[in-house]
Amino acid sequence: MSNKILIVEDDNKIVNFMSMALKAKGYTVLTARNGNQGILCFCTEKPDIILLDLGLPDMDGVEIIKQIRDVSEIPIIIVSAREQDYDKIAALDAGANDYVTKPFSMGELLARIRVMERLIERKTDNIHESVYKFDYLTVDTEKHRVYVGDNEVHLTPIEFKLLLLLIANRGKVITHSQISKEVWGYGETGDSKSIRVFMASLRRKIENDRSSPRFIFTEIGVGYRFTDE
Amino acid sequence: MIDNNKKVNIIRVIAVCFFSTLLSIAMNELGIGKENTLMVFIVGILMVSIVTRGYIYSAVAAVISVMLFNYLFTQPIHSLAISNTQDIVLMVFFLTASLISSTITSKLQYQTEVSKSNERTARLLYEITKGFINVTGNENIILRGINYIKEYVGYDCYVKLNNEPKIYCSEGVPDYEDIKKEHILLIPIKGVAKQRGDVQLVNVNSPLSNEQDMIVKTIVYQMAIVLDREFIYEERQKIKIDMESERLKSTLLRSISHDIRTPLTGIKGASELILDSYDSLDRETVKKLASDIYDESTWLMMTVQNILDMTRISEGKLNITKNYEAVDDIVNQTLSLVPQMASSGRLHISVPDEIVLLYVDGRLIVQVIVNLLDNAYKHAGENAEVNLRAYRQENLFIFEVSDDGKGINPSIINKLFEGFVTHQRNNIADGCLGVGLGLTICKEIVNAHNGTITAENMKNGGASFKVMLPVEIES
Repeated sequence: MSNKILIVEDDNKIVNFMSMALKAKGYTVLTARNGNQGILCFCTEKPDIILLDLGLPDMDGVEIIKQIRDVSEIPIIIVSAREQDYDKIAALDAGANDYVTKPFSMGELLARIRVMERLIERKTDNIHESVYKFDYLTVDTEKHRVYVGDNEVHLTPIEFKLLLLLIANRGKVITHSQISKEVWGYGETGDSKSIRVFMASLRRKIENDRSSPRFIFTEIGVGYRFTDE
Repeated sequence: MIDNNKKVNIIRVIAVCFFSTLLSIAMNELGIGKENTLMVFIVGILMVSIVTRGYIYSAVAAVISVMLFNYLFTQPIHSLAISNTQDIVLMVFFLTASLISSTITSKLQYQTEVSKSNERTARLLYEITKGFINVTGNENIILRGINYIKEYVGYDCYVKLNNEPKIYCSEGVPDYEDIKKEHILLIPIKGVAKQRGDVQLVNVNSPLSNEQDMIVKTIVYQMAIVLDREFIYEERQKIKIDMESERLKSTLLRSISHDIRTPLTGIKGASELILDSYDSLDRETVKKLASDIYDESTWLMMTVQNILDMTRISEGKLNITKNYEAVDDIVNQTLSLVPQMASSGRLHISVPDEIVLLYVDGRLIVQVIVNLLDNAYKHAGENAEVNLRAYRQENLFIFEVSDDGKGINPSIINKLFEGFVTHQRNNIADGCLGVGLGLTICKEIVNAHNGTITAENMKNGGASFKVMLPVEIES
């Protein structure tokens, strides 16, 4: 299957090398130079994945995400310059799936695109697994059991909830405010200390080597990401 | 209403007159002549002028004495009529003499009092002036002035400086908004160049006495002088800082133009070569050139990022968004940014077992550690082992990056974090680029977290960098 990728980006040079690299990998590439063109193209051409630059001349990137999210669950990867960190979190909260920061390497971007492709596959296959297996970690969602290797580990209800949230969104960055909303039930005012502490204690239980984790990755200042491999 | 002072004086006058009458009656009984009895009254009047304040009392005492004498001792006795001419002369002179003497006495008294009060005022003014010498900081100066006014003049007051909205007052005084705005005496604080603010005395129901007026004005004047001094001092500090940052900026610019031009030259040269002689180059060479371009641009990217951070910091606008971050998260993020090091097997990590939260800007701290790791790999040589240790030491949390390389050149170890140590660049083989910019930024970031960063050579010869951050004590 060759996925259609829409690049919404105003810089010609970047569009050129991104589309060249993507075409070389066999993707079909659509390009738009501003937000309105991007939305138009999204409506008419039905792409599978969108790469969205946050610094567009005509529209706020977050606004574009909101408009698209109203009608579609299409994976959106943000391409942002570093100065737009706050926008990045806002964009993730608005429903973007992932981000890469300029300057990025093509390898990095391709890896993120592959994660999105797996997300699409999971969605189309619509499989509801009750037991997840990741390397040496096994999670039984029905029986509420977690095994590291052959040993069962005991998770507190909140840790279990956290783990399920991460797994359900695997491959995608979940922001701190999304976590506190999902797990504790309140929004941005959530206790940022608790999230760190629970995440650290969850890691201590499921990771064999804490200093180079296998499953839960930190995106500092933004949130966490569960492995997709 | 007669005030206490008056009452006391009147009682004294009456008492003295009474006693001198008694004494003179007694002397008269003993047969002593009335001329001498009159002396008793004179002494009485002099005593009155000593024990009372004011000319009027001794004058009254003189008149009373004359009348008493007249009533008791002159013919006809027990009447105010006088039949003897001699007696009239005697009494006129007596009255004149006693009035003169009491006038002189009270004048003397008055002058003594004035000089005493002058002395007190002078001492007070001296105290006030002295009191302001060692005060620094606008708030302290103003509070001291307020206290002095309350202590020496007895009025509460409010002070407002022109360039700040705060209204100062002493403790226990109602807010400025809550007081009645009548009976206010406003005194400007006039500095040399401009008015610094004003002092408002409240509840001033009667005009100030000369002395009070002088004291208040002296206090305000002193406040103005000291505030001026403070202002000039601050101004000078600011100029000093400006000069410092100006110097830093020019050093930065020099360093930047060098650090940017070098990789740019490489990129330009390599791409130009490919464009011009693409047909004559073999695939391997093209690949080598492309890889050079990649390396140089990676370096360029890092430099640009550092410069951006640097300018953000030096303009004092660095967006530090502190949050609670787990040490685990900081270390994980750091390692994910240096994948080639993390997978090399030569980077050894140790993190504490306990969960430690630091109140920091996570991304900036990560950047500091990445910078240190980067330096360690560039300078400790190809096969160096690098340790990243994170541990708590009492109230400090320490990230330590150490290596087993050849250590830091002793000639630059003291200047590592100041300015830009770039002179090494030319002496080092390709790939080992300057470090100056990075460490200066590290220091700025750590400083912004109230922490310290140190560099030293270890006993085994390797270099060790420590980032020490304060740990918030859990309450």
